[in-house]
Amino acid sequence: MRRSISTAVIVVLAGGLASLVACVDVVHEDQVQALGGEQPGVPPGPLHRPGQPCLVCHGGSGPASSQFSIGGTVTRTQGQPDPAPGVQVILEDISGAVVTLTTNPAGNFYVPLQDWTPQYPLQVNGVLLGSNQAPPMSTHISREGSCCGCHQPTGGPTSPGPIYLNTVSSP
Amino acid sequence: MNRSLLAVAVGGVILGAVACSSIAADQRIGIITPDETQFDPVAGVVTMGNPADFLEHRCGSLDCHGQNGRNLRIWGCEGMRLGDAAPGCGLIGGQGPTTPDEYDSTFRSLVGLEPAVMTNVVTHHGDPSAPVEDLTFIRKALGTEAHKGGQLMKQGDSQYQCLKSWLTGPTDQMACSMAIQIPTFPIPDASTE
Repeated sequence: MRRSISTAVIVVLAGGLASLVACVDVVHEDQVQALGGEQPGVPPGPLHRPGQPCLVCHGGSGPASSQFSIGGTVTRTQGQPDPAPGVQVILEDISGAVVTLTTNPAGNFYVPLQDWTPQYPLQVNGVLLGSNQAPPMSTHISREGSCCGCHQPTGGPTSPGPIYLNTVSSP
Repeated sequence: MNRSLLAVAVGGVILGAVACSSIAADQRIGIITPDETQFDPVAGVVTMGNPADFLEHRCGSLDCHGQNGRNLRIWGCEGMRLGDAAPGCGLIGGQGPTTPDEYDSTFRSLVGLEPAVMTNVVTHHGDPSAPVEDLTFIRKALGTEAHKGGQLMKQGDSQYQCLKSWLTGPTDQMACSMAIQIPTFPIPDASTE
């Protein structure tokens, strides 16, 4: 009798443990870990982690509490990490809804999910700073809300590289 | 002894030659495929529109099937590149148009997804006993099978007609030329004006 109770307890505990493990999204956890820690002196907030795929953490699976629909970073010059603040990023979804976002001092731009829930696909209607315009994005965005998911730090056959405003440095 | 060694050596050479030969994937595993010459603009006879450019534009962006991790992989200038070229169809910054190797790789990826089903659909030429909907990639695009990209086409629209006509032959080039206009945004893209 006592043995059967012990067995039942073990089965219940094992089942509970299995359920707990099943709830962990290992792929997402790996993506979060791959981003590394915060930069020294830059606390979590609008200025942190420029150039990283925002929606890994801000996509609803955590660990960030705020959720974005779109986020990215604009750099001033191709091949340089200098941020481009004050840049307007104009996005349109397939229903015709348009949002204009402005980059902050870190070059980051984002829109909270409660402010805009776009209907994919999207297109970029412009990345502008006054009359200065970034090279046009010729493809649409099918479903990736993190601009840096495709616009990775280093360009190559699977990435066009960071979003930049100018191809040459300003004097 | 020497004769045995010779036999082993010859056998090894033959095996190596077979393994390294560049037999097309479809021939190697016995798929009967739709006509590759009607798939893309560099392979053969298509002039107006073609399934390859439509698929690249609609499905091959870097955030969808322009990724190595997909079963259906699409290469081209609007997404993932096969060689050293950068994404982008312009002629600047290492970009360039979709290459023949990229078209061919996309073709092989597509026809190799479900070899037996593909063979059955193609050999029946649209017969109701083997509809194009038997192919998972068609059902996914129609939204009748789970698809992270959602429903992208409907039966009878230009995208469906482009793919169906290519699978059952001959390719409806007009439908493909209309399909590549999709998605159509209500407000013109200011950056390209």
